[in-house]
Amino acid sequence: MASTDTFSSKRTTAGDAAVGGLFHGLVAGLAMAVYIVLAGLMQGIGPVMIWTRLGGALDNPVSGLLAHLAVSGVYGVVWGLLWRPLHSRLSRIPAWAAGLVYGLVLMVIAQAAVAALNPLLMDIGLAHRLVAHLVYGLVLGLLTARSQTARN
Amino acid sequence: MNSPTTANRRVWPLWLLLALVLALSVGTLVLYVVNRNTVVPASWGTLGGSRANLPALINVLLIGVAVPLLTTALGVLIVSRQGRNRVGWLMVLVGTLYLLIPLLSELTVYMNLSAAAPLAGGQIVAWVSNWVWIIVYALLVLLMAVFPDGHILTRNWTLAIGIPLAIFTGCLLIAAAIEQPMSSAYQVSNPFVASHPGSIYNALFAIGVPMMPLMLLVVLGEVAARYRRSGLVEKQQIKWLLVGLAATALLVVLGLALAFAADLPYGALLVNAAPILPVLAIGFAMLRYRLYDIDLVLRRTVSYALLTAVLLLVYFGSVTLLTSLFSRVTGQQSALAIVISTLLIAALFNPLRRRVQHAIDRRFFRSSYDAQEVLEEFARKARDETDLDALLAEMVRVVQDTMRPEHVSVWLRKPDAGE
Repeated sequence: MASTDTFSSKRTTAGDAAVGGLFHGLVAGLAMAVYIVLAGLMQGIGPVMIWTRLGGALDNPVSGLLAHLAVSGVYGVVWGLLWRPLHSRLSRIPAWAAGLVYGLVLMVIAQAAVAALNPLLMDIGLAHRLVAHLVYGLVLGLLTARSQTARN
Repeated sequence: MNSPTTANRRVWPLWLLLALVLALSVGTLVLYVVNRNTVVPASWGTLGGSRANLPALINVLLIGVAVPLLTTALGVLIVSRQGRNRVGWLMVLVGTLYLLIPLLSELTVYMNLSAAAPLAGGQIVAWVSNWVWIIVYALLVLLMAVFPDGHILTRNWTLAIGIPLAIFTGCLLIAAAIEQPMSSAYQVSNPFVASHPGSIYNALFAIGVPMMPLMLLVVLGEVAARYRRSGLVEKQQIKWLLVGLAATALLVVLGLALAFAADLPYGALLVNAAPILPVLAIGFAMLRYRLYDIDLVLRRTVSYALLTAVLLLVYFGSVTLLTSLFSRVTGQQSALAIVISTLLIAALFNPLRRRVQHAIDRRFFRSSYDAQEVLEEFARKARDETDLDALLAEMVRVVQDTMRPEHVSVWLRKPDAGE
């Protein structure tokens, strides 16, 4: 019966994986945002200034933070889609370690493509940028591992 | 309890009143048609100038016909079913008095501005028109406070609501009665006051106006307290009122934004249409028409609002990211970013809707979520269970858990009774 399938299915589709990744990406983006704010404060750059610059033409900190979260969510979707096949083939790799590698890859992409979006983010220094992306990847991986444990 | 015949006997004058409201609504509309080319000075809720345009017509249809007729009709229906409940009587009163606002306003224009010479009694009509809205506003607040059982919750709440209500009504009634010229009545001269008493008027206005939001806040507090103490049916009724109030607040904010920020005349229409929503909600709740649908309305509204917000965020993020990537790779802007982002949104829509709905049900609609869990469990057991008695017992348990009936019976056809 169709209704039975709906209720009892525990299989995850690509869509479910993407949505899971989206929410994990948003939470990881928040964690990264906290780190960026702390790193900025250490460099003498206020959080309002960082997020205002990230807001680009909209020129306000809320839109900057939303832009950061939006991009984090999209990277989360990509992670959700990549993690499914990756995990089925290399099940020994812990999610947090894979997340760290993913964060590193994002750092490289950000250096090459996204740097122009936020010059001020570049001012917080390479080390802080690297840690910020690793924080993102680590939180993403940990959340994925947690939801996997809950499902099993 | 009253017999239906006794109740009908008592209610028939109200049906006559409803017919009168209908006739006066038509009269208001006719007066608007007569007055529409008259150039009027700016007044509260009116920009001034000629009113021969579509927004002004829709406005009259809303506040002169739709709101008073619906409110009075719902009030009469409620009185005919629950004659002892004050909510119905209050709605009849609100509906009838609400009609006086546009009716007296059009009469003011006709008697003082449209006619070749001002007609006798025109200033008196304008004077009443200047303060009648205050009584309607106070009654609307009272209506929300006594909903749904016809009484304010406790003596303390009566005081908490009654004091600001009395200050508001008293101060603004006196201020409106002594205003010269009358700002809610097309600046017509006050027949009873020779010159504007500036200092007294300003003091009364300064005390009375802040009471408007204060009263609303106190009433919302009372509604929240009532919700916590109420039973199942009353909870559903209060949910209808709260949804009506939330929609009203949304319409007012949107209307004011359109009217002042975008300078659109349709913005004022939204503000004028807003009071009908809590009245309709109260009517639905009192008549208990589809009372339990409110949960479905709430669930769908909350889930689709969240879904829209998340999809917008993803779309925005995806366009930003892909545009940046493509412009780095190809050196120029590409429409591909928008195409891919749109496809991403389309692909995410259904799984995201399921996830959001599931999360909302688990958090806010626990009983419905639990029911789904129970059914899921039953479906699993039904696949493995071969003993009919055990399956029957399980089915009865599931029905009790999910639907909570007073009694459950199962009839089984004997194997030899049929084919």
